[in-house]
Amino acid sequence: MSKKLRILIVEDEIVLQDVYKLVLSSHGYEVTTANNGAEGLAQLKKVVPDLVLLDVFMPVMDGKEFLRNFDLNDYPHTKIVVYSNLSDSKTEAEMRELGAHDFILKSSMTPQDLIDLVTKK
Amino acid sequence: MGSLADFITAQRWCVYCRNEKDYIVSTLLEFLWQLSNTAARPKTARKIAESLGAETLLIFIRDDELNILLPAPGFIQTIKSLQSWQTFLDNCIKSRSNTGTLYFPDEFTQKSATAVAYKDELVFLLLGGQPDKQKMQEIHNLLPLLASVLKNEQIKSWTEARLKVAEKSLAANSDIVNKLNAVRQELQLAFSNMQKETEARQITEKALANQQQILNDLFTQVPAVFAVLQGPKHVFELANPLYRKLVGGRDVVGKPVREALPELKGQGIYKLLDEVYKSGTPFIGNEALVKLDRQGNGKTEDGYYNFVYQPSLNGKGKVTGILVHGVDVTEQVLARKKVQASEERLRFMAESMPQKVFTATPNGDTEYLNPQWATYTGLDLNNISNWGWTQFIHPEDIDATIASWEQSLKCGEPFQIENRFRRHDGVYRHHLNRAQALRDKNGKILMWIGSSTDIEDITQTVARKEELELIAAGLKEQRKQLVAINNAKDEFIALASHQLRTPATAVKQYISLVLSGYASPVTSIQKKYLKTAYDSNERQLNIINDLLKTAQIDSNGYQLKKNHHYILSLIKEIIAELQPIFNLKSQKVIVENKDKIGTILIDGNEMKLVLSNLIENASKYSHKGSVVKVSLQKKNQNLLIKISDTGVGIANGDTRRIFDKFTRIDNELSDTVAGTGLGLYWVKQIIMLHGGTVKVSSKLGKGSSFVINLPL
Repeated sequence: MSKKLRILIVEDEIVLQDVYKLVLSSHGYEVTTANNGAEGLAQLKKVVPDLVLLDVFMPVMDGKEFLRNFDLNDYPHTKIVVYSNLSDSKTEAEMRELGAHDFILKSSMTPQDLIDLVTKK
Repeated sequence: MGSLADFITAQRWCVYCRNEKDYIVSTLLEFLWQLSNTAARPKTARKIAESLGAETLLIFIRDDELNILLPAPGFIQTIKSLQSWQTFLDNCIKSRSNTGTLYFPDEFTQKSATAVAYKDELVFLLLGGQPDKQKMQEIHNLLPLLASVLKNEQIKSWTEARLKVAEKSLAANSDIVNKLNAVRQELQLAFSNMQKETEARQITEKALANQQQILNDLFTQVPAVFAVLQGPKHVFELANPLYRKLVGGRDVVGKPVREALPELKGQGIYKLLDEVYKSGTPFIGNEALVKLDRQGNGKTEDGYYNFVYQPSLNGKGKVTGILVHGVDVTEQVLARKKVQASEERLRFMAESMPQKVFTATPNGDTEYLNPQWATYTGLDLNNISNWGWTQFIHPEDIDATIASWEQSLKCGEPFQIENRFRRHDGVYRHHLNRAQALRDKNGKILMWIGSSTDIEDITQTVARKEELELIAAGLKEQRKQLVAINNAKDEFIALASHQLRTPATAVKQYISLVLSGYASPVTSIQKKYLKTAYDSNERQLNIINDLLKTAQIDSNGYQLKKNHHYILSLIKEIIAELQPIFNLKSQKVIVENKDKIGTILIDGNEMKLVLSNLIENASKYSHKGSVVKVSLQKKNQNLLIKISDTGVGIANGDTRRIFDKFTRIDNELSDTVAGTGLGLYWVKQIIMLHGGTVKVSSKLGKGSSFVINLPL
């Protein structure tokens, strides 16, 4: 695919949003950010991403609510990777149920992991 | 019973028969006397009178001196066509002093008549037969004269009366006329007497025949067994059809009783008859059991009889025979015995059941109480009338109980109420009381049958149940609260994990960023410091992870995600990941799978962490160059995973608490190993969640061996 891969980061923690954006941008990905689920949904209407990195625990609208409002049929080519510091299996099961393709523990992820993850997609 | 004369005197009435033959009169009187039912006497007398030629019979009331006879009104009324004379006769009796009585049988009526003078008038009572009109006219013509005669003199016969009249006429008229009349009257009298004599004979014959017939009828139709025995051998002189039927149709007449009824031998009957004959005292048998050959086939049957052996006396008062009179009451006796038996059964039932049972009259008086009442109340209830049942009822329940009982008695509706009855020891126990009216086929209440059942235990059980329900409700509420607390805890853990990890994650990311050269090239010394900071941060994250995992396990909020995994692949994956550690200490890992175990249903991620933890520990607590052995083995549908090392080992006393939370065992290598003391705790918890066990055996200085047992 010659087109640049578009990534949407939905993350309320600005320091993390920044570091992910920095790492991914430096590898040539087109990155947009949103501070919560509601903003994320708004972003989707402007640019359709190939990948969404979605946090779970966020103010205004959390990751679960975002997935509930996200219709996979409208975005057949978009992958959702949930990454969170909520490490319980219940949350993971719930997110997968709602349509997440993958679930990663945020604290165990290095920048390289992030690149590997995105490259894989 | 007294003599006939006594009887007649006592009854104040007698029968007078026109036939003037004493033996007939007395026989009839005897019949009437023997009729026990006073009300039936006039009726029976009438029947006899009619059969003898009704008109000839009159019944008179006697006065105390037995010499003034007046027609008995009650009887006259029953003779046909005399109804209208009743009032007259009543008046006669009321004014007895003004009444004279005259009998004039003969020529006027062909049968008989009675003339009664009443005050100034003479009235005839013509008892049957049509009077000769001409003669009646003559009497009518003589009425005023007769009346005056009767009023002044007691005249005993019609002839006498006419003579008196004639006397008076002669006195009033010429002697010739008088003589002629006298002659004529005498002639008439002679003729009349002649006629009367003939008629009397005819009547006598007819009466005799009738009497015989009546006797026969009485004898044969009377609904009782009847026989006449004669002489000291008790020879059957008569036996009515019922008697003959009773003895199986045997011909007993003419035979002495011992020969006629041999089956009575040994039953005391012969002796009884002898006794009656000898003493002249009647014997009355009441429901006596007699074995009789009732079919005439030589076999006796039990029967019950009411009977009388009445000695019959001759004129001199000597016993000449015995009158046997009896009724077969076998059916009644058997029926009664049956009723008694069934009553006994019911009583037995009432007395053997645990409930207290009672019966009461329709108006509520207690008739019967089974012994359970006495046992319960501890009182002697032999005298049950007015036993005062309310004294046993709890004071709080008395009013409601009495009101309900009275309501049932009033309306006949079933009685049911719960109350407390006092036991002999003074303890009140709950009872369920019920009673129902027993009615006859017309719906009339015959009696009340009721029971009182001790339901104290049930009541207490119910109370206990209610208490338990209350506790259950409390527990439910408590559980609800616990769930709420647990949810709050889960929320706290989630929040804490997020909040604790997020800043540490940021540290990790940024250090990684710098180390990876995103900012600018770093010097080797900078790299070394940053690496130390990074490792320290990693440790912090691991501790957070361990703490969170423990918290999750402890809150039972941990759910396994089971899938089929190739256990051997999983172990090899772990060893590959841990290879750098083994390499560092020049250790070797051997894996054995002799039983060729395939897939197993487990939570792959968790099991990987468990095995990783144990294999890493084996490496950590062993010296350089040692061998760690992992073996798989199948045993009784279980998978045994054994991880053994030849390391420092664990002291005997420490093996027991090694799986406890926050336990760290001191040994020669523990200072060099980082840990929170939580690893083995959640190893055990995860294995337990899988339905398995984990055990350790160790020898200090020789090495340790951990065995996981998982169901296949």
